Amino acid sequence: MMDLSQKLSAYLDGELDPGEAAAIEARLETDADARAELEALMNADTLAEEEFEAMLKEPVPFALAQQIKAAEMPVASPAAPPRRPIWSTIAASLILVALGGVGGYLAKDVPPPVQTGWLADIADYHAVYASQTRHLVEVGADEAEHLQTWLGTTVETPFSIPDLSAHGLTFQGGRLLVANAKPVAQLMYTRDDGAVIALCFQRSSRPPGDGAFKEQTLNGFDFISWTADGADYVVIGPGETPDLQAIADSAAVAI
Amino acid sequence: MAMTPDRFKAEMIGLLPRLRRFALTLTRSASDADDLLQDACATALQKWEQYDPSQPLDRWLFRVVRNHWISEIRKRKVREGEGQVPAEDAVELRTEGEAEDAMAAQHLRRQVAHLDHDLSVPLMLVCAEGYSYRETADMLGIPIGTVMSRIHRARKLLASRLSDEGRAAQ
Repeated sequence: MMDLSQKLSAYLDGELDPGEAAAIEARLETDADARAELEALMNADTLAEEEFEAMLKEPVPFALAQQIKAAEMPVASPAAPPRRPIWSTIAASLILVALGGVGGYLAKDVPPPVQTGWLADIADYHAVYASQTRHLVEVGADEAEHLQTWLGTTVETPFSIPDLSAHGLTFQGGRLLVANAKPVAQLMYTRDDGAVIALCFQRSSRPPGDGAFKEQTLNGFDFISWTADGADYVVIGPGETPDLQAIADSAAVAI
Repeated sequence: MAMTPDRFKAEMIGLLPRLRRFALTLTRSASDADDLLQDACATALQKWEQYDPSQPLDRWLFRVVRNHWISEIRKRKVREGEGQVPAEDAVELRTEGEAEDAMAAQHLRRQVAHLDHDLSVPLMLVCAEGYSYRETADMLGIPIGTVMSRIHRARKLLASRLSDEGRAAQ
């Protein structure tokens, strides 16, 4: 039989059935010891969440991502010839690159990346994350200040989070991506119908642009990109998003 | 949407930070975590056609990572002359040598890194990844009641450390 503390732990995780949860809530109203125990468990939870969150910002084997992208994958076919192990070549050439939260991007000893264009990478990421609900963002909108510090430092581009509510968009948070071998900040917004619109930016390696918008469609997503103040920006949304240009206009001003 | 090699790879790349966190929680060593991640990614790419696209990819990849870690632990125990270890026992094992290596790791400044991984892994999957007890039990191959008790035990240990720190600070 579960003791009270264990029940409180399961209650925190929403794992009690409604009857048990109601009983716990009733007890919490009258039992100071139970409240103290719940608070201690919640404090432990907060600590754990902060520490697990910090792990996401540790250096990731960035070259691994590049190698995964380049890897040949077996495809079942009756006439398929035997393939050599794909990982032998990957392991031999794998170099870990630090992509740190605060330390920024370290490109030491890394072969020059293939210049595939960052929008293709952004399209891939958007295909991944726009389908996520629980894990849409890495850092939520409730930590806006942290997001600005973390992403602004890592991408080396200070920014403000644009308020795009006039376009029916709710800011959900952001995450750090890698495109064209450089860190990218991705700010995620959702519409009431569930559509995900992202605003991404990275330090620009191109000459200063005139700020003109460029429209493109890649992998079924619409893009509006521009370069300004030493950074490349893009707003991305599902194909046929009617007001994407207006969203980009607002984002370009506010960011 | 049908799963294609390119889509599989794109999703896998997007999951790398979370997979590495899982590997780090299992191994408690950054270098071991990166080795584990590399091996697991190799297997996932080779066996990608075994993945059922109607299921979440993250859970499938977490299982691949976990299975690799169990295999690695077994190999280490055999190398150390302790013979074969059942899978369920293997995931519990922690030698002093590993602990010392882990102590040297930077991330051990964190309290969660001081928990045995049989406690920290369920805690990470539920608290940080947002999985239910049932999903966590399925992923780790342990009973749901064990998930519940391990998460509770992990919280109690962390709460105890916080309480000790609080007293020490007074």
